[in-house]
Amino acid sequence: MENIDQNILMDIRHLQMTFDNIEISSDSNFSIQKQKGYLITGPYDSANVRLLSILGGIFPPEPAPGCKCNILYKGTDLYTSKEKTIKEIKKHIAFIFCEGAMISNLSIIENLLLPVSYHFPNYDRTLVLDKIKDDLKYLNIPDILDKRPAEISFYDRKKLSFIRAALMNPELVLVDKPFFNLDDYDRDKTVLYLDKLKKNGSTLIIVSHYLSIIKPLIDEKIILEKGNLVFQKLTGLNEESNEL
Amino acid sequence: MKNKKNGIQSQTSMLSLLGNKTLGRIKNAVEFYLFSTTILLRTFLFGRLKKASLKVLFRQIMFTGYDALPVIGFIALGTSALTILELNQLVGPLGEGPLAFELLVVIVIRQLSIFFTAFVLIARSGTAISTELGNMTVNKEIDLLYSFGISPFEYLVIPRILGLVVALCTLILYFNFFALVGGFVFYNLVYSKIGLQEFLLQVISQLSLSDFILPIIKAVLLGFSIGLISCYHGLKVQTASTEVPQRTIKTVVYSVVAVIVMNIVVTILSYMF
Repeated sequence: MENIDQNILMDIRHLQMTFDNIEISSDSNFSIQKQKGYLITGPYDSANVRLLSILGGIFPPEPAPGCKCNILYKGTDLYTSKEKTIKEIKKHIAFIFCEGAMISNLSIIENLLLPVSYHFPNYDRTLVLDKIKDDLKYLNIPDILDKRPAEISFYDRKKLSFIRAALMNPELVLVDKPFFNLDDYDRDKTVLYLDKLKKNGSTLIIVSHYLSIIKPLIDEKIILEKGNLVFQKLTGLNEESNEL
Repeated sequence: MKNKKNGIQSQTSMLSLLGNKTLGRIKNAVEFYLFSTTILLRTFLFGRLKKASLKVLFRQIMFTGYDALPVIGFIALGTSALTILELNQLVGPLGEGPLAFELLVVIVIRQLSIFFTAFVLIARSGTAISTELGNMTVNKEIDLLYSFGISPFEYLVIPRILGLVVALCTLILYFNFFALVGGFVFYNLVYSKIGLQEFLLQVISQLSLSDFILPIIKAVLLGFSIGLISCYHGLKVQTASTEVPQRTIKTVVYSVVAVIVMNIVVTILSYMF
């Protein structure tokens, strides 16, 4: 039984991935610490999103023959563990997809409640509904809970995916391009919303090209370049030079 | 010499095409076998469905079972009516009495009820399931479920299959009820008047224990097969929406074949034992 650092949420060992014929690998191990903010960035957008999916347990990494790559969440492998264990881990991971993905044949309220009702069948519905109503007001979304995803605007769908993620009180929030197609007002609101999540104990991993907007949330940058990963800690407030 | 070389080349490419097609079919068969085994094990060994999945199951029963009642009732009335009319056409007044009741039991209740109900199920629910899951795959909604830690098997596939099984069992009963109503009405129209009580007694006298057990066995087997085939082809869609109708067609073809083959096998087995 290996000792697990209590501050470490994820350990990524010998990461290897291939995307659109671009190979990215890291011989060194790296870790994701609790309650920190990480920015995944780099010139290959698809690769950035693929790394986010690998860290979230959706797509397995692709190690070369003979190599072993492990994505450990609090010491448990996200891909090789038993299904029950993985399911237990995923209760604590929330995804915010670029296009605010939703199940098209469920209503908005059913979409919002789906992860909570699946993982926590005995949840307090009134409490959750109150939280949803508060967040709708905060993110300036009209009362559209009974509509289907196709009936609402892209902006609202995107903002609703933030609310859905927050309902799970996640330990890890993975965000793919949080500001895609949002206007300035909504951008500021979503940064504050993500900041609130971080302050409540969530770790954030964000794929974005807008470092200047999300800088308050970010502690470290993970830059995906052809062939390898580069890590940059953000220490000062004025780090314009780091912006890609 | 050149022509001979070209001939050998085209034969080789034909053989490789044939080989690839055969390999592809074997691969698909293995995939379907693994898919079916996984679903069967999950359904029977790890049984308990979550609340969210129960909701899906309930919706599936409503759509497959309840919403199909009018069409099933209509087909059942028509089937028994046509059976009586054809009997009268074929043997005239000789058909009156035990022969009519025997035909209603053997043709309509024992065989056609299962066939027609299964075909309605394929046409309405099999295609709907395959299309729905196919579209969900194209729209990355299956990945969305994975990201939530929700197993698509547990949330989408098993409730749908169980829904089909429950719906098929009840629809067969419903079909038989309306077949008897139609039989009664048309018997009275074509032949001499007979009371409902006597009609029912005559039909019951033609029934055996296997007529109560076999439909249930067939409904479970066919419901499961249609569900498995529909879900498998729905989830086999990969990236393009044009794959969805192709998979839906395959769902219909394979389901119809499965219904006919299984029906024949179970019927033969029932006569053997």
